[in-house]
Amino acid sequence: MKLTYVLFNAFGIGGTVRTVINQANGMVARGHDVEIISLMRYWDEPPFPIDERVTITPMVDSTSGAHVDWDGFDGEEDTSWHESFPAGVSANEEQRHRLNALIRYLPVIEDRIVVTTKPSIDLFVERYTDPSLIRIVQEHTNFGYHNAEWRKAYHGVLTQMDALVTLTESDRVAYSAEFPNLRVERIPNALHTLDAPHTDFSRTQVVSAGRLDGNKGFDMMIKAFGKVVESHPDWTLRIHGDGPEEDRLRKLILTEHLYNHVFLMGATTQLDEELAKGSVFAMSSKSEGFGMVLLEAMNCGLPVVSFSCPVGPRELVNDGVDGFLVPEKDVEALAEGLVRLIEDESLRRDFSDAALKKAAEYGPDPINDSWEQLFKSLSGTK
Amino acid sequence: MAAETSEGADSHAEIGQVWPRDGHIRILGTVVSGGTPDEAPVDEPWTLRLTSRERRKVPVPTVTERIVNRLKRSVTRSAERTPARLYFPVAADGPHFEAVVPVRDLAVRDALPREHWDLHLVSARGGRRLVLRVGRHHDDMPGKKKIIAFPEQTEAGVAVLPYYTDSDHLSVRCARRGTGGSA
Repeated sequence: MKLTYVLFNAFGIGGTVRTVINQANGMVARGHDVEIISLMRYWDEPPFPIDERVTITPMVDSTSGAHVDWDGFDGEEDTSWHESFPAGVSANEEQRHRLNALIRYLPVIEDRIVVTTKPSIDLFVERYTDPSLIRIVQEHTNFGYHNAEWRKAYHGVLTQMDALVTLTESDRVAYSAEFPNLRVERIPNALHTLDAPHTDFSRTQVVSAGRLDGNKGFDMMIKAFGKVVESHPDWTLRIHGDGPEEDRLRKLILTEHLYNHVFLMGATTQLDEELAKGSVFAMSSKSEGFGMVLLEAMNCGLPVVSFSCPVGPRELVNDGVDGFLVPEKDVEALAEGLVRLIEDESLRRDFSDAALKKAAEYGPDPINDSWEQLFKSLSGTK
Repeated sequence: MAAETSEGADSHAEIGQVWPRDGHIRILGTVVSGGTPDEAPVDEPWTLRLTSRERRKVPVPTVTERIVNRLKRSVTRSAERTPARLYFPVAADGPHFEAVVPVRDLAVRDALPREHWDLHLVSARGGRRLVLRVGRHHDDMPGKKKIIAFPEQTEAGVAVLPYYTDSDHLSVRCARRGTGGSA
């Protein structure tokens, strides 16, 4: 089969990029022809290991300093499409440049299955690819994520696609109810390997990771950890990732006098290794599309404590078996969950064993099987 | 009196915690050698030494300046030039140490617009001088300058901020405030 994944930025660090590259690697290893379209390119190499047989086609390549379109186009900007998409799509000049390049590329695609990975891109894939192609939407956020304007535009597009794939069961149910005529499947993200390093529980360290934005709730995690160190001053918290909230979180660490205990580590391309240095994983998200990093932590044998987001953690964590789910936005409960695990090494080890078993269900093979079955099944319908 | 100077190869003062608050900078740590706590006794109590990078570069005063300074000192002690090295007592328990630097001791009358003090623990062992850089290297967290920020404390118009250097050593930056000088 010939597969084209359309990605916002294959060269940025993030959950969607990581999972799409994992998937591309898995599919190319099974003998399929795989291409990734990336709207932009600022670096020579993606941040995650990618099979050399996977072709990456940037719509606009900026590695040389200049912004070069895939076809060398250097003419006048096409503005004719602006009115027919949500206003935010055409607000930014750089983004318009990339989308214009994409608009010229999409109609050229022939005889391939197109998998699109972000609502703002899905709109263009639906409009500009040949409708006789198999077109699949991969939804990385949860059902309730989109605002009214986006929901209207996005949901209009979905009815024209061949399938929608959600990451979680609760989203599958929600989309199936909304779109009774659309094929909706649930295929969770795959771990890139089951051979990740495992924690040895030797460090008095809690770890977390994610984009430093408001949705990840790291301010609540930091406050919770302030309560943890009152009784366990030898424990520290390392948070991996960067994002717009970094300055605010740093100020919080200063005002709470947690600079000896809470460390904002920045982004890492060695996430497994960093996770495995911890003895407990914490998650404080207000919402999650899937909670990939939670699964990656479990794959390193880490017991987890997480807010019980409706989507993601609630499906991934078996409360009291491989981790603790605590009430959403409840800082006190998050702290208590962490303290329970900190104080009970035997419980940490029990949870760790269960977490590794859970992670095995999300190994590359079973997930790639699901994708292959979907592709084959859809190929028979067109 | 120590006969020889040694930088204590393979040894340093490993920081556990730094607490810049309540008008002090409190530093807790462990003297390590070869990656493990250094239990060997020292000849004299450890002292924390702060060395100014900029103050050392102040040119030697001329004869006239020396005479003027001497006259000033005879009138008031406050006219004394702050030395390029400051010393603070260290409480030690085996290899573990605790040192406290009052912020007011760095907010000196002749504060430079911007000044950086490097921290060492100093003592002697077997007649050899031990000078150990204070830093944090054993926490598997290189590049602390971008990871850890400490709060700034201001005393007498001087902002005092401990920070990790590019090499994960601890230094203190002092910056004069309120005279248009930049931070």
